[in-house]
Amino acid sequence: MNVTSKAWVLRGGLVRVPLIQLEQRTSSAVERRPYIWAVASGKGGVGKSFVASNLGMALAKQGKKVVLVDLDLGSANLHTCLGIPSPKTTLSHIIEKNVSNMNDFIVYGHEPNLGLISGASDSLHVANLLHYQKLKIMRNLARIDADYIILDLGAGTNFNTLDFFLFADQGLLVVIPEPTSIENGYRFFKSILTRQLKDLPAKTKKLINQVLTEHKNEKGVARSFAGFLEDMEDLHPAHAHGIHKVLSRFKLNLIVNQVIEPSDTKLGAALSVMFRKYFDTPIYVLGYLYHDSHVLHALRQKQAYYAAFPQSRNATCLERMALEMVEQSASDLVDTVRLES
Amino acid sequence: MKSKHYYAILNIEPQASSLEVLHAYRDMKQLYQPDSLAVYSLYEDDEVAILLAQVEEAYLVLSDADKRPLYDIEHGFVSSPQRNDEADYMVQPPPVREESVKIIRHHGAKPLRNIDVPDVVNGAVLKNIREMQGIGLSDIAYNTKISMEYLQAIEANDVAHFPAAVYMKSYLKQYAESIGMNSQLVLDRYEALHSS
Repeated sequence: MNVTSKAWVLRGGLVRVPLIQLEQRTSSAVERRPYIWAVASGKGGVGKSFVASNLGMALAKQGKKVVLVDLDLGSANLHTCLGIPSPKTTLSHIIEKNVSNMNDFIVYGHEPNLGLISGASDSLHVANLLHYQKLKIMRNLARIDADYIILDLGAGTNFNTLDFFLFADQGLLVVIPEPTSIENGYRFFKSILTRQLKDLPAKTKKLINQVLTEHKNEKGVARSFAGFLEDMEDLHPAHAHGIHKVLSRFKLNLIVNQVIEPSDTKLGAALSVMFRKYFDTPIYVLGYLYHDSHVLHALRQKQAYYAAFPQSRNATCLERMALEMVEQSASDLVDTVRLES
Repeated sequence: MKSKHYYAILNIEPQASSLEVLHAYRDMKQLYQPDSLAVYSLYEDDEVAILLAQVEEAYLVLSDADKRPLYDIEHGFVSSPQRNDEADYMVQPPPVREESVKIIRHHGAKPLRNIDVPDVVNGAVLKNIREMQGIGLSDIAYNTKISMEYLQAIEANDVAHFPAAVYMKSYLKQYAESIGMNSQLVLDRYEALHSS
């Protein structure tokens, strides 16, 4: 079978093939695969759940079928952001039971196009997913009947969070204009890089270590990841090619949340330059959202912000970002088809 | 190393116009300020200082209409014909007309030629050479910060007007440089005239 370029072999032998590839190659027996976005941040409290829920809302308003999945296990609260106080079914049901159809576990609020698989749970063990449980969720996510799935990941850099982020088609990093958030955002991406490079052949990994130890701080400037890549290209071009191939899978996006000062709006562009310079990885700036006390109002009224304040400037920003997301998802799938043919 | 070339440092394409170079320079300088959020936790303060110095170095060369083509040739970049020069008209000075010469001189433009020093140098000769180049006395006063009174004294051969000979020497040298003449030769011949 010609599963090339875009079919990602994940740990555990799970193979992901985007929707259009499947449609082209196989019969109608194969179900549509949703396009998956993962929202992460590194630092907690920067508004991941806010961004995930409201982007989901904005996408749903555009007629897309969206399912939000709360993977902030152990401290899930996406249902509250959406105004669904106590969801009947949650992820822990899926983990514990033998589930054949995850679609039965989606709960709906006021918006018919927007479903939620809640992470709320009575089980105290849910925060520590076992490997097979993680694979089970991933396998089932791909079978959900929706156009878009938005994963709301937890803060921090534990393996489950990293793996779900890597599993998604597009990653969305949320930062706020604060040193702590930026620091943890970079830390998160470094963890992602390390996690991703783990899949490289043993020989490449050995050479990576060699290059990292032998070529340190020649000019007084800390070795950036981009600098390391250049060294690898000079010394071991074949292996460097392998690393580039792994890196090119990243589809990263950025949202700057809680913008207060006018200068904060430029942070996205500055971060994008640093990602290119330091990590040699492009990150697309999806946009920014203003700091707004009405977010708290909406939460207290147990309403989704986008639904409660559809005239706010943040609502406009969210709509624009949702449009971008649709466009990017479409072009990603078109690229895949082009690579195939 | 490809990331070390000046275009990479300023984060622009080698085809960038001079306006784009200027904007990139401003942006990168902003990026490497001590309170910049975007570099926080990636670099230490002293490393940021080095990066900032690299930006300055890159800008010095790429913003220079003479140095940049040389740099391009040396490092194998495509030079000017393919550059995005449609944006350049915004930074180019307006075309020079006769009446605007004085204004341009006012902003510190140096005389282009090295003028031969005649055998006999006196105030009238100096004045003649100055006027031939279209340089006003006030331009020299503006650039050298020497008062008009002393500049006029030089041209009027009024050596006694200066509080001491050393002032006259210094002012005369600066005057000579301002009109593109060898200052030492001018001084020697001007003095020779007055001591005799």
